Amino acid sequence: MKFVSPLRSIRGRLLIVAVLVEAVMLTALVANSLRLLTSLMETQAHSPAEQIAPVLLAAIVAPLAQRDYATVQAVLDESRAVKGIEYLVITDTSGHRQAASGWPNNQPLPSADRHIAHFDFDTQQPRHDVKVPITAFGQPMGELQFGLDLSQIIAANNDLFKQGILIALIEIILSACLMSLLGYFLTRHLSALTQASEAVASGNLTPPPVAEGNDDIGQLGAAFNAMSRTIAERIEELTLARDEAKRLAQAAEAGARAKTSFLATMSHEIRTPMNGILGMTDLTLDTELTAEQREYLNWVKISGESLLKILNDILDFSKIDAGHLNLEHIPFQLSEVINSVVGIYSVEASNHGLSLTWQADNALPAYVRGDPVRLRQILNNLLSNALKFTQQGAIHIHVASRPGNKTGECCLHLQISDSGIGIPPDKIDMIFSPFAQAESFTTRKYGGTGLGLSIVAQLVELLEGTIRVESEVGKGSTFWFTAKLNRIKEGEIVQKSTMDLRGYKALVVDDNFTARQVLSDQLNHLSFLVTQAESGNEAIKAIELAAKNHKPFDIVFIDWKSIKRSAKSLNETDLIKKILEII
Amino acid sequence: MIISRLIQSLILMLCLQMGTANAADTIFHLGVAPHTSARVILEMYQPLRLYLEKALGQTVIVETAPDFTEFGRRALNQEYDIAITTGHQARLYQVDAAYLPLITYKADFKAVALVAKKSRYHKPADLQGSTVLGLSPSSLVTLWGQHWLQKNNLNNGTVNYGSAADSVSHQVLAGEASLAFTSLANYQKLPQEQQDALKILAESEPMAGRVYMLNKRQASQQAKIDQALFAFAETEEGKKYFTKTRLDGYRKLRPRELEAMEPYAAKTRLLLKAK
Repeated sequence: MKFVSPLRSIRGRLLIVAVLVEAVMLTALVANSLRLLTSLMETQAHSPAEQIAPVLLAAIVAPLAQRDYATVQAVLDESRAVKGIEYLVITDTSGHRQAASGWPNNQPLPSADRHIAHFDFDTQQPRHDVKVPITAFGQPMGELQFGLDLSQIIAANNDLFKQGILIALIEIILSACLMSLLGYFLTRHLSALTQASEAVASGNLTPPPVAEGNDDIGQLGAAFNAMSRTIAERIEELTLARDEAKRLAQAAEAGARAKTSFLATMSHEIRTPMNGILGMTDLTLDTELTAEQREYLNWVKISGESLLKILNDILDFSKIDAGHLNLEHIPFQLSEVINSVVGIYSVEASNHGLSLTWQADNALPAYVRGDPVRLRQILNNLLSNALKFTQQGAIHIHVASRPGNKTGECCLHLQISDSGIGIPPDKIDMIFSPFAQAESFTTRKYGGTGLGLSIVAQLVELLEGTIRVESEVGKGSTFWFTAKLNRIKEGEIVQKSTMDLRGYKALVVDDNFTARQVLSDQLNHLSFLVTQAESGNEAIKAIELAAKNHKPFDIVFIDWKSIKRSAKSLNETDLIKKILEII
Repeated sequence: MIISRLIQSLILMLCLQMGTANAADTIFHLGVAPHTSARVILEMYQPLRLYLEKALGQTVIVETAPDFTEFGRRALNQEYDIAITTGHQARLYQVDAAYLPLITYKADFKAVALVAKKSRYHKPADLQGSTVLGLSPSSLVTLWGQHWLQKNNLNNGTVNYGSAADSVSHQVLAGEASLAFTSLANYQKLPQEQQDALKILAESEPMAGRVYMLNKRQASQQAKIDQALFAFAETEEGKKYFTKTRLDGYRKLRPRELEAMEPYAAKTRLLLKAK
């Protein structure tokens, strides 16, 4: 149990206040009692003087009148036998000492005390000296002085004082115990309530129920229990809802992963035959064909390329959506990327009677580090859109660069303006959403999946940039985006050397015949000496054979999926290790 | 602090000693023979004391003695300024100590013999062999009583002495003695109930009762004192005093009134000498 300072608990405060009040009251009571007792004892001490004097006087008046001092002496001696009288002395009206008992005749008498004051005696033998004039029927006859021994009274007073203090202390201790007990019984439910509240504060939202009752604290306990039950029910509801939401989220995530995986797989599976179609079409177009056959094959190629682009968009979107798209960080020449893209679309623009130009600021760095492929993809999408929605006029690209926040960083600002159909204001906000185009009519008229700008927006985000569009219907649109790149010095760029690939030995490994054949034909066109393998094991045998004949392969192309399918006993890592060992 | 208190105490003691010395010098001793109890004497003579204090301008105290013998001895020793005593002792003081006679009471002084009414003592012969009480061997009533016993041939009894009239009366009523001698005046001062229980068996002839004798050292003030005494008798207090004591007032001593007490004085002288 946590220690609580007495000053911070109601019980402790009540106890301290009660004990203080008790102490003050007892002190006052004891002090007053002692004062009264002292006063009473003073009176009692004084009363013997008042009682003794008349009796003595009555006894000695006659012998004094007779000057019978022997009798007076006898009376004094007899009176002194009474306990408490220390001495008695009689002097006559002339001041002569006529009788004395208990006091030396040659010793002067002490001064008489006027009153007994609080027993403030500092002598070892406290005494009250009393002097009483002796008169009889108005005639002065002398003086009687006597001393009362107060030691017993003072001892009694001291005893009373000590006993009073002791009783007061015992009373305070007993009161403190009683108050503690009373405080415990009064506040124990409050303490339980405090502990339960502290348990709630420390995270235990369903502490054990506290005691209930009809009094204030009992009702408070009942209210706390009700609140605790409500909280527990609410927590259970929230827990169930959270678990359900988690389950749904996990299910959705699993579904999304399944969808993405499915899309990636399907895209790959579709793209492989599509590559075969396009490759074979290209090969066929390189043969002798009639004009009609060539036209048909060109249409096949165009349709295939369109389909392949759609497939690529779907694949990219899936990768980005699944977070599987990794950016490259390689050096490249910025103007070359832009030039190559513009070059691709220049012919198409010219065919449509459009002007396609680009302009760069002088501060544009020559070489940067980044992902040229994704930058090219963004440009491709934006330019293809511009060409798609521009019937006449011009398309202009403006490229600028600003220093970034970090050293060596630059922020590329690229703007594509067209004089196309423009985008209605109410549609601008949705054009970067997937599967969205400004008008359904647009889709029907201009085609496309509606994924292009969504992919662009996500790629720009991956490049730590932003993308915006300004457009006016009938006047055109301006897309601009930024991308963070790393500036590099020209000397750091490794210039590509032009290689003569003729006679190089290449091995193509793919279980798909069409894909294997297309790639082999394309390599043949590049003057490679191509060997084909359908599986991993077959590839290993071919590599071993080539090595044995001292004619090892210079390059091996492996379709990783076909290896998984064909080489059950070997995974791709084992295969590559094997190949490297042989090479 | 202590020194100042010591000085104060010393000054106070000196003042007290000086005061007491003056008081001792100026105290006027009025001796009264113990004809009754000391308290009665003190009470009885307070009006006279106060008057004399005023008249003489000095402190006056009333004194008595344990018995007549001691009173006589002190008187002869010049210890009283005025001695109020019975006639026979007055004569003794006059002769032996040169006291000056002043005055006596108008009322006659008689000695009486008291018996209890309910006792068997109805006549002197009934007292044969019994114990009788006197006040003091040298008191006038005792001397008269002894004379009365001899006259009635009651010589085989015992004479004891009491301190005062009321005391001996009590003893008689208690049956401790058959008879008590006291003065008629003292008998009349007894409570009525006590008087009713007693009976006077014998009564003396009038005698010189209490006589005021002035010490010779106060001779110069005799006239003044005489005048003061008579003046007191005329005051309200004095009248009350004489009414209460039935002494009727003061009178001058008659010629040879004290000399008539000579036989009793002689006996007293012998008693005092014997003591």
